Amino acid sequence: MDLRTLNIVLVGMVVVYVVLTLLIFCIKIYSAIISKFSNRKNNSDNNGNPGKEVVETTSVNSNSTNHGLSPELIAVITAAIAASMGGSGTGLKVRSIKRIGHTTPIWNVAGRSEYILTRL
Amino acid sequence: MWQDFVNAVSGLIQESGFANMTPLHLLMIVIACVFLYLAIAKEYEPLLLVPISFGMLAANLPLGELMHPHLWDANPIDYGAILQQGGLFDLLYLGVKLGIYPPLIFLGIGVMTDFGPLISNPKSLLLGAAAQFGIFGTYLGAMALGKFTEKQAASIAIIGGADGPTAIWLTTKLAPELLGPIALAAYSYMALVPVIQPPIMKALTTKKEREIVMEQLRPVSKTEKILFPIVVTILTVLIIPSAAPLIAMLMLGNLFRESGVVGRLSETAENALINIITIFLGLTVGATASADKLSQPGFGLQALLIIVLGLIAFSVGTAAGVLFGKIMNWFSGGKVNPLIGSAGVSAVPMAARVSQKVGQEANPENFLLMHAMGPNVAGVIGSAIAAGVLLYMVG
Repeated sequence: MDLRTLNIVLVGMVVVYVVLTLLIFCIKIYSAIISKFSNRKNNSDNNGNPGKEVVETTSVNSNSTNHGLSPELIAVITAAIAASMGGSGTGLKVRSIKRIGHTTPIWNVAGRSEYILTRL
Repeated sequence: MWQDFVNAVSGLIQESGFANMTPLHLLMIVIACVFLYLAIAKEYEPLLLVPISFGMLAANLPLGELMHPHLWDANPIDYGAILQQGGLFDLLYLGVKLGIYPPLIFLGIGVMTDFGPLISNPKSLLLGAAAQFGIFGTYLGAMALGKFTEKQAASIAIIGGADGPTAIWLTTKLAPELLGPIALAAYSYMALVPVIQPPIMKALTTKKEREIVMEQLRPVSKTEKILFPIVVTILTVLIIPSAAPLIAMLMLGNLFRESGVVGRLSETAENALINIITIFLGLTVGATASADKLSQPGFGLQALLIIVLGLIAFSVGTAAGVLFGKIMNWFSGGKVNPLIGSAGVSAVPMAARVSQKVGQEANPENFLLMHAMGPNVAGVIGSAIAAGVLLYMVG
């Protein structure tokens, strides 16, 4: 085993470790900066509009009484939106939920309900 | 008239492939058929093994003129002659030889890869690095055997990266004469990850360690995911410019995915483009395994050693990952399940699934998949960096 072979092995492993360790630091640094900015933004939003969330909750509540939307349904719709948008869902605010008219052809609706009833 | 008929038929037979068939051609055809059987009946990496083995089969039919190995063995290679006299596979092989296909496959892999678990737990990059011990350990072993040159040893060692495109990319640059056996070994072992890894993982860990339940990963914001490919490209390519083709294309693909503004490009890269390139790459890599090569003295032994060394590379990489996982577990006060370390040997997502499966055998309520995806995708970056280092030092 000559010295050059050992040298290649040593340099190779050290370089792989150094580059990946540098990457760890870079990821940690920019993640920290981003989370700091998003926290500050959230705080300023909350400070600028104290009680905003309460107002929204109230409006949802009032909607729920007006249109017969149960809190469970609101929770499910909010969770579905949060899941499809990805992330934790923090900062997501549901301002209103409106029922829209049927735009799907009736055959599609029939097919979908049959699928839900038989396959799920 | 009868004589003319007999002459014509005998002439046809004389110039047919049957008359020119040698025992080596026959052997290669049989090997190709065995690989086809494994791909179709046993479903071992069929997407790759079907084109590879069919390429091998078609190129070894005498007088087919699909591939001309002697044109590629010339030093320096006469590309003019290849364009004029080359067959279909010769022309397609230009993409392999010029290092075009592997980076394009990396583009598609980048689109398919979610680096979220890695960004969420950046320390898993260390596990991806530990698994690269397999590459360098095998390089040491191949050199100690004395049967290979430095360049050949480096090409064989990269099998330990468990990354087909990286292995092909480095081998075409360093030891193109070994491309066939190295590509076959790399892809075969990737298919055998669920067989090779579990015994090593179980041997190196206690049941208590395998039962460790890890904390849930933090959610990663979209901005972090978009910044990741940009930061990795800048940092890695500045430090190791020779890894640029692989890293840059992998990260471009990932930027396509995370930016969310180039849906059409993402879709093309992860479906049509990667499929087209896989067909070209598989066919031509298989075609390099020709009977002429096998007739060269010592090639059979070399091919056999490559198979053995490849297995060692894989096993050492797995063991190093698990052992480093144990070290991390010790430092973190028992919060890291060492099983995720074995996923550091790339082979996305198979290796991560193996970690999940072995973990669940020990503790049915344990879900290690997302934790193992971190080291798994880190292994892709790690093996591309290792390939760049080897190219710089040996090439």
